Amino acid sequence: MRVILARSLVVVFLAIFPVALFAMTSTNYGVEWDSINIGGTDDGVSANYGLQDTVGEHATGLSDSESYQLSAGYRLADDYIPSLSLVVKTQESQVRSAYTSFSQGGLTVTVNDASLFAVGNYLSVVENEGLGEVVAFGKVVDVTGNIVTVDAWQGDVASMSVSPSGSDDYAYRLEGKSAAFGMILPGEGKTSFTAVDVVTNAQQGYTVSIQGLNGLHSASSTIRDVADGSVTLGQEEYGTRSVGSFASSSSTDLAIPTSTQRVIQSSNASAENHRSGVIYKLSIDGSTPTGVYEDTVLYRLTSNF
Amino acid sequence: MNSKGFFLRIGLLAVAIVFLVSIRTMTAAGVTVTVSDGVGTTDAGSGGQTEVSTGWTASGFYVTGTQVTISISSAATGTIVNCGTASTAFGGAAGSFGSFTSSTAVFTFTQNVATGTSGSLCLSFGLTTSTATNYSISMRATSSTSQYTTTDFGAALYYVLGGNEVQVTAQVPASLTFSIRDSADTANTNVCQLGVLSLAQVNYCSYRLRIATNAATGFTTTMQPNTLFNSNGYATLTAITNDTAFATGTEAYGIAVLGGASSGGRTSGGAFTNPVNEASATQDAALTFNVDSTPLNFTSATTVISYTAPFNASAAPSLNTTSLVTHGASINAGTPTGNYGHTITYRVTGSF
Repeated sequence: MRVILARSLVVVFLAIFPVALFAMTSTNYGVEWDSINIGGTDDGVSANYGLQDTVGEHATGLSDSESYQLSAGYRLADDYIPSLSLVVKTQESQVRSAYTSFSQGGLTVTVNDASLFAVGNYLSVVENEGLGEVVAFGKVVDVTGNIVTVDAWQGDVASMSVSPSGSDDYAYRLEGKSAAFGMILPGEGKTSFTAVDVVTNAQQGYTVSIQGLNGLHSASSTIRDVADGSVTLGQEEYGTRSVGSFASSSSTDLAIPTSTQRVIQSSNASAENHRSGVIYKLSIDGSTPTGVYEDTVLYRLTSNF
Repeated sequence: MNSKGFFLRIGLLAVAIVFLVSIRTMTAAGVTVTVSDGVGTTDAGSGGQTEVSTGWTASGFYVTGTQVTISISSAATGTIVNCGTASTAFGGAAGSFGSFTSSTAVFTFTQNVATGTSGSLCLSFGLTTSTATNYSISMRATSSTSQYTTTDFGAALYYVLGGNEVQVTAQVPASLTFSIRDSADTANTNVCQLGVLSLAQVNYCSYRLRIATNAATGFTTTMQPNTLFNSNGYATLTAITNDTAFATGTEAYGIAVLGGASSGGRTSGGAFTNPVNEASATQDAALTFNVDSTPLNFTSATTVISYTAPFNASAAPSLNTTSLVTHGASINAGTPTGNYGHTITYRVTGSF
């Protein structure tokens, strides 16, 4: 009977103090966070071992519906650290190589000069460079010979040719911060490209927006923003097109607003390397004022926790 | 009932009671977090210690003792410290920071915070870096009483050294074109034939000035006769008086009309609809190059048309974006015979 009474008291004790015990540590070892159902202990200490674990929990983590949010799990509030990551990588106009083949399924591009690319670089593949170009991009995971392999393709992947036919097809390294159109003459169309990579554990997703500080301007003039949905050769127009499965409004060329922000990428779920791209486009006419033009485009990531 | 079953049931009852008593209201809410200079336009990150205020609105009631953990990722380059003016309050509720590391700092409230209270906490981070970096700054507040637990969490990015910026650049080279065209703007020309003058009529000849430039502040065009209108030095035709009409039987020579381009000038909105500027009385009351006559009684370079922004000549032929110059001449009975002429030089200068 005493044994039964003792067991009952133990059960009562564990019910009262389900979280009041402590993490286990030792000089040489530590195991973060423990619980054993409702009788879990946080800290257990011996001379050589420590234990912090959770055992027996089911379906832990954050989940939500339209009206409710559930934080399931004994340790959840302790180990959930909200996090955001925004990577903005821009085409380096001088670091490019012609390419001879593109493999959507194989995640590869065969370039003439693979020495320009290294594992960890972002890379874009531009076919028919110009105002009507199509772009695929990814992060380099392997470079063997002339074959560069990426972790995944994003962008106009389905529109890319296996073997580009022209002389205006290039693979660019995307490790820059400046979208440099360079010298442009009337009747020319110039482009550049920025890749955006988002990681966040915000359960309700995120939004990436862009905003220009002053428009594409010189000391005395500002290039006109595209207003008709397409940057057209021979007309003075400046704008962007977004590409990628997470991109917004990817079918038209839009201006970069200066007084508001424009969403270019969004999701209603957490993100593990959600990517989109922005193609900057510029065309001028004969009366576009001479000068050195510049704009600063701000990319902002807002998460919805 | 035996005693074993009795105590077992007692124990289970106690467990149930304790379990029921321990049921508490729990809320875990993601909140919108803001950081000072979350735009990325002002950046002190390259200089070392950077003060950043992290703000949010409490989704629930924070009791005294509630702790807020502010975290930064990647870690700062040194231990986080209080701002120059240490945070002591959140919406009026007192508290202070402690437990500083390079990646976290913990704020403990010493007063209650009502649900819906907005506030911010300031910390100074070592963000010394030479590369563009986006730091994730997060907050987690857990408030617990016997009745409820509130957990607020959220994060925002702090952009350092333009980690969220792209500089877009382009260069547009200077351009300036000028040609003298026939009156229909179909071909270049450098003659204006007045023909054989007579007492019975006024003779005219015309040509067009085709000018285009992307000079930001436009162009100026001057004309300069090498001499007065004369017959190889023997005789000179009388110059027309400004703004008077040519008349049959009256000796006169000069510009009959200068019809400046009616469009092609870049407007502030970027259209090319503005007319060229003709020299007017404000420049020289005796030389008004416009819809009526102007004497050519000078040999110095004199401005005839100008514009203060880029000027775009449409594809030829264009009677709207080119400027028409018409010369006129008439004689009287005493006008000496001879072949009269002079050379006029036009110069277009871009204002780059």
